[in-house]
Amino acid sequence: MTDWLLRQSFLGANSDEMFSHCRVAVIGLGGGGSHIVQQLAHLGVGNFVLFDPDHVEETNLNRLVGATKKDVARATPKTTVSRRLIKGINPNAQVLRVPKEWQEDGGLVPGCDVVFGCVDTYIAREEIERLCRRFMIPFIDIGMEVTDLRDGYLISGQMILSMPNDLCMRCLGFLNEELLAQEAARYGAAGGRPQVIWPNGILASAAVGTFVQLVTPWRKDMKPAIYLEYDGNTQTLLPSNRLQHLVGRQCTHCSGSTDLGDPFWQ
Amino acid sequence: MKIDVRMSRKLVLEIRQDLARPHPFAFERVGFLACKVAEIKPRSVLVLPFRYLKVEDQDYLNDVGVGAMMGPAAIRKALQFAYKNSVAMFHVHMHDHYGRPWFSDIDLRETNNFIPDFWHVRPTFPHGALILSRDSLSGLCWMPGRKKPLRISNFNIVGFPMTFIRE
Repeated sequence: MTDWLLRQSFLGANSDEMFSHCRVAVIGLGGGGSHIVQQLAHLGVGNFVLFDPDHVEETNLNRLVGATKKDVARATPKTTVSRRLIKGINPNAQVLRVPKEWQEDGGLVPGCDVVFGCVDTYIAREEIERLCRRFMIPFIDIGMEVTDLRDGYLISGQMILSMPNDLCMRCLGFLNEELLAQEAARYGAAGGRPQVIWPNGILASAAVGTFVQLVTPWRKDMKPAIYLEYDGNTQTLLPSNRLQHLVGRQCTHCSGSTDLGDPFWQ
Repeated sequence: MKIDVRMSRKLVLEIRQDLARPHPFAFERVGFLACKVAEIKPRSVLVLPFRYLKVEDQDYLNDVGVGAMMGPAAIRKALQFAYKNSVAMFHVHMHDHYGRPWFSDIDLRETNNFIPDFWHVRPTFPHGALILSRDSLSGLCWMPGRKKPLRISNFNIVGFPMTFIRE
């Protein structure tokens, strides 16, 4: 066991080796993604593919882990901030920066073992989920929202593990046509959404915990959480009530084998 | 070039269950895996097995010189499936031990013999062979037109928990 990972040896005698060979993609390196990247680096994950087209702005400093005032002045790409963060913890980690939309270099995703999605829109979530299913990659999504209730605000969020051949985000009731249509109609009008650091931290921690449960469970009978709902007003993170109605169900939205692999490989 | 295989834990269990069944006269069982394929940047190929095709009892030949010998009907059915569904096809069998398995000389000779048949029906796809042990697996992949197979570098079994088998 590598010295700096000794305190997590209960995760398995060879867990350090497993993490060091693991290749993860993180799509979106804002408030959620930057937390995830930091925690994965501490775990000893050895291969990263980081996607984000944006650079650091003043308004990111309230939540972007690793970003500084200098990064604002220099308009440092978010992928560079995350790479710096990872390398500072684990200089041996291989970090591939993709400072553009993930779709522009989507060919890098199929080689990843797990994909983390930290994106703002429902449309983007569904797009990433479809891609992951095509290449049989577990997809872990997080997101938070602040809703104006007129007499105050509600902070909410979710962590979803979408496994290939299992329930998808539509099955879980998180995505539906109406929601996607409403979002498409609002396209371009969103503006800066309210975001704060601590809910992102909680959801990112849940996502990383789910990742560890998935790749090196510390109990044999353990199964990772599929869908956790976060209520920031009561500070609770609980399995979604929807899960109890989905026991034994199979995904009816993703067609399985016909949608696997490269569509043009004939 | 590197070859990776990613498949579901459920499919691996299905394969193991079928291959572990005793046969009326053959010493072991064999099967085929229908696979989709993808390119991974920069120079790798990802093989995605999605369906196990068992070889029917009557499609084995009674040959005591080998563990299992497929008859022409077994190959014909696999060829037909590859043609009809536009898939890569991987032969699969199991050795009854723990640890990383590998192909015997007979396995390699026989696999070399039938792989070119799959290029007659699906010439652009890689085809190959996987071998399972009780707790591991290995494999070879023949890229289109290549005589020499490539050893499969990584296996990623997707389920709870994920399993990674790397060269």
